[in-house]
Amino acid sequence: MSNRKWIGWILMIAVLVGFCAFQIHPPRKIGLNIPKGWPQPETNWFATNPVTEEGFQLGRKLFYDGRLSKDGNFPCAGCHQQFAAFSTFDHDLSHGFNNALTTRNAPVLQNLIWMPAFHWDGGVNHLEVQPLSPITSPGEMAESLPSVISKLKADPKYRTMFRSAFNSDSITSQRMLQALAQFMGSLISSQSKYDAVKAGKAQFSISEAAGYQVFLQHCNRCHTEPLFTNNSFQNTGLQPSSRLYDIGRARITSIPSDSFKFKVPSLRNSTVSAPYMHDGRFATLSQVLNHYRKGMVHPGVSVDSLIAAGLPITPQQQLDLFSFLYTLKDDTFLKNPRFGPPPAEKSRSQQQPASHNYH
Amino acid sequence: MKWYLYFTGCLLLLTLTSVAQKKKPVHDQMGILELHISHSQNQVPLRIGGTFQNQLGQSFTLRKLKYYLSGFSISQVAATPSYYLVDIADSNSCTIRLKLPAGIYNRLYGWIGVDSAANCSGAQTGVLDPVHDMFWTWNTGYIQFKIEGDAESSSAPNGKMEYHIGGYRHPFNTIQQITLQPKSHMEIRAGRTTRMVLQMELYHFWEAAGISFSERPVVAVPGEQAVKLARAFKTCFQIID
Repeated sequence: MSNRKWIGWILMIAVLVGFCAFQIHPPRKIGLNIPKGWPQPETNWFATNPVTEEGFQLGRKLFYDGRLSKDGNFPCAGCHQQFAAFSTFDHDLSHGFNNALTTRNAPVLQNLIWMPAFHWDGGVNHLEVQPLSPITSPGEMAESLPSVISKLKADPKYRTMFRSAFNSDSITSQRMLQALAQFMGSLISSQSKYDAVKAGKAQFSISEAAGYQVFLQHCNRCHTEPLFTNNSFQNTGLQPSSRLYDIGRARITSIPSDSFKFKVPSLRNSTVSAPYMHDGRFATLSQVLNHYRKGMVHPGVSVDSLIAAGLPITPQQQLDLFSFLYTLKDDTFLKNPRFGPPPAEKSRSQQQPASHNYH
Repeated sequence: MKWYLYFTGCLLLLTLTSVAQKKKPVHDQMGILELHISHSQNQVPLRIGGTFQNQLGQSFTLRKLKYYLSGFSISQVAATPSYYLVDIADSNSCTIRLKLPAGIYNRLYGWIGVDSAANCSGAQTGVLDPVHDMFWTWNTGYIQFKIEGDAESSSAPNGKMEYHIGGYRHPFNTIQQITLQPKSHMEIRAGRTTRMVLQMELYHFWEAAGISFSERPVVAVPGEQAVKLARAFKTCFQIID
């Protein structure tokens, strides 16, 4: 074999090895950090979908991308705003495509890996399939799944990101949903003042400490520490809306006694996630507490027995309870730039002053 | 990159096949059963856009007929289920190929619908990809079968009849096991393909469901009605050799 041929072979092999090393660079596993002292999640969603830096970043881009909606105006982040713990700030119901309103209050997105079912009625059983609901709902993002996939396939940036997240060229709904799950599953709020107190790194004020006692006595059974929800479905004696007529959990189970039951929301970051209840009917925490003290109605089906008689809380106890609820606000989570828009989306949204996100 | 992958792929395949050939036991020889699904209504071939009548003589124009089949097996306990989405608008989907161990059988077991494990495992791909429009987003789960059409007698505001049947939660689980019996027997020969016709006669569904388009033009949520219709749907299938 001539020298030239040898050089050719060596070069080819070198190029190949280099190319492979560059291309088959596996996504970097980052996993999820379970805060100290918290229960292990019962869900095992990331066994088949390990959280990687590339997958997280892809999920983050998708979360902030309006192209997942029919007219481009309604990214997931439109109704799930970080500063409101990923709920819709100051909106009882949220805005969707073609001036539609949703029929329920946008829930906060935090600590989702401890949540066995999504939606106020628990109809969705897995984090990966949750986004299908807002994407295809006519009053929300109003888009079809095949159309979303073809928009993603047409974008070279997405092709690169899917390849580096999943080590393969195919863009499928499964991969899009897995990437979104990686981003959403990473939204863990565990660094509030309450958490610092529990870790022995801070102290409650007198009022906060008194409020914590009120909480333990009256709220902890359903809003159970450390997640501040036990993920159960309860009827809290709200007068059913004659317009929305939402039967809650019974819509999923078809069990009459589940009528008007809704999922217990977490109290974490509740001071920034107003309005409250499944239909956002209460604008303030005072209204919520007034309801629990003396506003509950009994529409023929069982109101949770723990609260049915009304919570015996004095005005002073209520103030202390509010002080305590403020200790559940997690600024590290609410302002973490890693959970915010990716740099490219940020500059795009800055060019559009009339963004749908903040009306 | 691709070249490299193909190369490694081929190497791997070669290694695997050589290993497999050495270890393959005699009783593990597999053959193919090719099921051609033939759809009819009152013995008239079903087609999209065709007009037919239900058991009450109410006529309808068929717009959609799609359903899942899964977990075919020659024993009642299925191994890892494979899923098939049959759509009468797509003739390719009406032929399914099953890999079965060679032997002579007088029964074939299978399921209409998707098992609850697949309903609870998050985002799926292939025929279970939600792009196929056989998935409920508001109450997680696959639609086991879908029948849609226009019907004069329908009391629905859009003049349609629409049966989207699904639900995996107890007590309203809609997956149905079917037992298919060939007239005599079926023989699967190692490395060979056996062909059989699976007849799907939709009239049996209307009859067993007892549906009137004027009274119940739509069923599209899990529950008691869905279970009743799922049981009716399973009466449609029969192997006719």
